Amino acid sequence: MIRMSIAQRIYLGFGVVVAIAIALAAMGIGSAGQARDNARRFRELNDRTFAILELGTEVAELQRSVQLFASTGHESLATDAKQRITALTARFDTAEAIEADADSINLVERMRTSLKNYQGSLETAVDERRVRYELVHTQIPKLDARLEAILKGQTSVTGDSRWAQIRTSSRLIRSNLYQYLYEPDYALLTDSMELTQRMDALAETDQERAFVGLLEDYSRTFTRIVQATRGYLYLVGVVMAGEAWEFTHLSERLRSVALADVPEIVDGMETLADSVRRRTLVGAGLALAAALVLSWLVARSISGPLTEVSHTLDRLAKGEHVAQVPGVDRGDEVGVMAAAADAFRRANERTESLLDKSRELGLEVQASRRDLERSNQELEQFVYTVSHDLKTPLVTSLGFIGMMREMAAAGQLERAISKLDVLERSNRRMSRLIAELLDLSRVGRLDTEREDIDSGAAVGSVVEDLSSRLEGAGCRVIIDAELPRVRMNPTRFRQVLENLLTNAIKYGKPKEGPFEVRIVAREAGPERATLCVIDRGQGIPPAHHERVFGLFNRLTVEGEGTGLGLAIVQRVMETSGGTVGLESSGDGNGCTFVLEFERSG
Amino acid sequence: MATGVRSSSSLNEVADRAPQRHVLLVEDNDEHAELVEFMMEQTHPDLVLERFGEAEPALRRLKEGSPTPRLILLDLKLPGISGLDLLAAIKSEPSLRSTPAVMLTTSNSARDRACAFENHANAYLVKPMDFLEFKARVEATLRFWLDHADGL
Repeated sequence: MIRMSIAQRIYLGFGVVVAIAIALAAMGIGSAGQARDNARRFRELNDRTFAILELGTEVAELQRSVQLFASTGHESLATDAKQRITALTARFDTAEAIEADADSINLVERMRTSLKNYQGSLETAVDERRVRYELVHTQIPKLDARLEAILKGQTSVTGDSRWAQIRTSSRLIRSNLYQYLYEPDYALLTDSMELTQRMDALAETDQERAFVGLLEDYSRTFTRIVQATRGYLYLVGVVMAGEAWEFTHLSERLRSVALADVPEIVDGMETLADSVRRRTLVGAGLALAAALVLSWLVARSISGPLTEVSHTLDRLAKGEHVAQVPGVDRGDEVGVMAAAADAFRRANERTESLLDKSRELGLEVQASRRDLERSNQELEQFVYTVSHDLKTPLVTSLGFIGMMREMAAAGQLERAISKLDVLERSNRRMSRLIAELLDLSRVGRLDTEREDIDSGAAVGSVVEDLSSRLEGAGCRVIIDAELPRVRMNPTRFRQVLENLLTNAIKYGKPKEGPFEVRIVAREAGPERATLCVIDRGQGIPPAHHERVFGLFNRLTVEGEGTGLGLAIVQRVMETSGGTVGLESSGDGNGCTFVLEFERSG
Repeated sequence: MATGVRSSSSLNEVADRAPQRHVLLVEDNDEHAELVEFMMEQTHPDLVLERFGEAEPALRRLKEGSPTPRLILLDLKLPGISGLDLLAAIKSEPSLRSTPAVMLTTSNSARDRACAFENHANAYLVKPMDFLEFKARVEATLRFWLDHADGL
């Protein structure tokens, strides 16, 4: 699935669903065929049962015809029955449908035999009926006529009691026999036989014997009629009825044999219907589930990565930094898209890094321009300040020279000469300014070699050198016993201390109390060493702390400072890897200048 | 060269027309102040020079004290509040606006000049000053103000 394209995935998904649908259809077709087979079998069975039922009906009809024939004796009915038998036989010959299995074949064979027997019996019955008919309608009338003829010839012999007896008996016998035809009472027959025998014994004349002989024929014919009647009645009523019953019974059995398959077929059809319904349900469920699962899988495999890629593109478009575009290693269309997005991202990153670089360069340029501007400004300020401060003593000198000339011209020589001091002081100041400016310009260039200095000893030496000025000012310097070793150029160290002490002499005198300046150490961590120069003078308000380290920035007009001392201190400390700070509230609590050095190893 | 500076007639004229005799000088440098005092003494002996070393007390005196000076002489570079700021403060004060102010400075830079005139300075003198020029400037400024004070 990973290496398949989206199109292939969609095709596969639909393919699976379509395959399931085709399988379902095939199953339906198969089941329909089976159902059709079942229906055909059912229909055959139905036909068979119907045919068998028809056979039964036919036989019943036949039996009815035969019964009618037996009771009426109409030949047409016999013919009808025969025709029915022929038709039945023909039906047996053509109806293979009935002979479905061994059982059926056996039964049909027996039915055929039964029918043949029936036919035979019918033939015999018809014959017997015919015989009876012959006897009743031909023989008996003939005998009657002969008897009547004899009776008519004997009318002359009247009063003969024997003849009269014979004649009366004959009438009785004949009436008995006729009555028997309609009412088969066996007693009538035996009575007639007995009477005839008695007549035979009574007869004496030939005529009488012939008459009695006729009577005997008459009786015999009747007996024959009775026999014939009995014969066909027996055939019709017993033999043929039995055959018919047998036939009906066989057809019943045949029907039950045929119907024995019905439950099986019905069961089969029901089972089939059930299984088809079950399989269709399962198949449809499967197809639905497969369609859902596959579409979900396909959709997820497409939309998820697509969303991720588009989200990433969105982020890229917004200019965000994206480490990795998802889905680059995919083999499908999303992978192609992701690869394109990745190329876009890389190009973006390159552009961004170039932009960053150019921004950095721009910043650098800006910074150096600012530096340049600042140093230009500083230089300008420096030149401005220096020119002013250098001009000041010159202005003083020139002004005083002019003034002295005026005084001299006005004859005030003493007054003019008294101004020479100012002139001299002004020139000296000029000279010191130039020297200090030169010194400031050398800071960071000359005397930069750092050494380990025992700051206690160095401070002591500086204080000793300044002792006459300190004494002149009435100032006492108190030095801590334990001062740290620092790493600095010794000349610069002396310069810094000198400047700070000079500063203290000028500005550190307290309003009352002894004039003392203390030099103490302060804890500053393992790698730094700190010295503090503390005075008890007026101090400097925090607003001016930064300014005091600037060039020519003097806070008072008194004294003779050049305004360069603290600027030199700051420059020296900065170029020596140290710092100088000022702690003062400016309200008479003095100043603390904090010098931080590199601690010597 | 500075010998023929006295012109009492003009001085008297000025003195007659304006009752104020005070001139305020704000200058931190003592020597420079001495020079200005000397020049004023030589050129305008009738005027009283009041000197301040810093801007703050000078401003206080101008705002609270009397009489209002006839002229203010200002050094440009002062400790604390600078001469320019003091000038601006003076000129923003309605009662002092018409008092002429002359800048005295060592700076000859165009920027400082421009700043001074932007803050309504009436004259700008570069040190060291020539007696003749100083006298002429001061007089010209005073006269101009006497002529136009009513209309300002």
